[in-house]
Amino acid sequence: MAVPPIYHPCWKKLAEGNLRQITLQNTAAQMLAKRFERDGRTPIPTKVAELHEFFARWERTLGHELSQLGRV
Amino acid sequence: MNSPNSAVSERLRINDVVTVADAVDMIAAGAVLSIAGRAEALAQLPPGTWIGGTTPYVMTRDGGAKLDAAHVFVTDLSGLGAARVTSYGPDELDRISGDAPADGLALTIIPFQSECHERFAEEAAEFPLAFLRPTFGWIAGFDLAEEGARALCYAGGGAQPHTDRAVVLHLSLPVGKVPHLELVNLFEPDGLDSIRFTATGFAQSRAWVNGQERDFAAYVRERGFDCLAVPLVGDFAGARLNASLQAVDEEVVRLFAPVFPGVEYHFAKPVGDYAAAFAEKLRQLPLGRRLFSCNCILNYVFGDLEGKAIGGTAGPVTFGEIAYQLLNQTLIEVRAV
Repeated sequence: MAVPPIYHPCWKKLAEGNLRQITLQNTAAQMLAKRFERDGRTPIPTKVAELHEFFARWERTLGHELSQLGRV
Repeated sequence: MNSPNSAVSERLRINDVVTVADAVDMIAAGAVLSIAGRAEALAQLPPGTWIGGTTPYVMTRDGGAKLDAAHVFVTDLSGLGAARVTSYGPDELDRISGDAPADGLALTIIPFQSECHERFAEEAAEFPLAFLRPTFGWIAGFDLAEEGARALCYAGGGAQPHTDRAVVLHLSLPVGKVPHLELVNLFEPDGLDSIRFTATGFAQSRAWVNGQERDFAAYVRERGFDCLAVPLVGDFAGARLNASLQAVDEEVVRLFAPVFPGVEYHFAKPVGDYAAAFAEKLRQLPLGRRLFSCNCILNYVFGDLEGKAIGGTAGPVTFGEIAYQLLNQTLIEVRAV
């Protein structure tokens, strides 16, 4: 699955705390998910932008995670 | 000596113990290097495109070994892409990832028990570009048999070593390649008591154990973990990250990495044969182009790894590992995929 565009609703859902809804195998993705979970200060649009950039940057190593975005 | 030329093939890229004289030749020839060794050895190296840190302990293909002052461990990173050596003080650690190339990584060495060590450990995961421009590396240490020894880091030589700066090699990778982390943690949570903390830090006097506030040092003694061999294992959204015990004092437990609020910890199940366990875990990893690897001094000591091979992975033995943030009791491999 290709990386959805930044306006796709999956990013907002993930940034709002639903990263745990998908199974994360990539260590960096797991660490980022925990950071988001612990961070209640950063605005959601900022998290959305970072999350989208993260998936775009590491697309090659996030196949397992990307394959689940369709059901978020 | 193998060629340090930038056209060197991966097969010839050195990741091994060499003499100081050979390391001098490699630096003079323009090789891009990460170097580990004793301070007496690192002090002999000329200016060049290299970073270094003190530790006499290394893993080689043949097993764990202790370096003398005539040898260093070099990881040759030549021929991959643009390389730049720099260093940062405690107030500018966010620039490790902030200044890193968009197409590469920041290989970083930080002195043990420095302000940089403490600040990086507590703050790194919050840096704005931490997960977009990754930081990998290690915490420099010293010979455990030398009383009063301290950790030193070197940014390209030719100047005084650093006692409180992060030395960094910003390295681009070939077009089409990205850095990828393989994290090998032998420790699994024991599944017994759930432990949480209310403050970030390397020293903790109180903890919430199964929902009840406890004197943490008394709890650790009660569980028999004051032998220090078994780390706390934190659940970071599925990633198992360790915080190892440094000392259990009367009223406080000191750790080699900070623990964080909002993370559930368990003590780990003990590991029996470390060398066999590492060999099995490494055998399961997919093949890939290795760039850098390091393993923790606590695995070396508690696993009695001197002279024991663990499956072909070689690199410095460190006082903490860096993969986005500080890790403990872990082997990391950084690959280009």
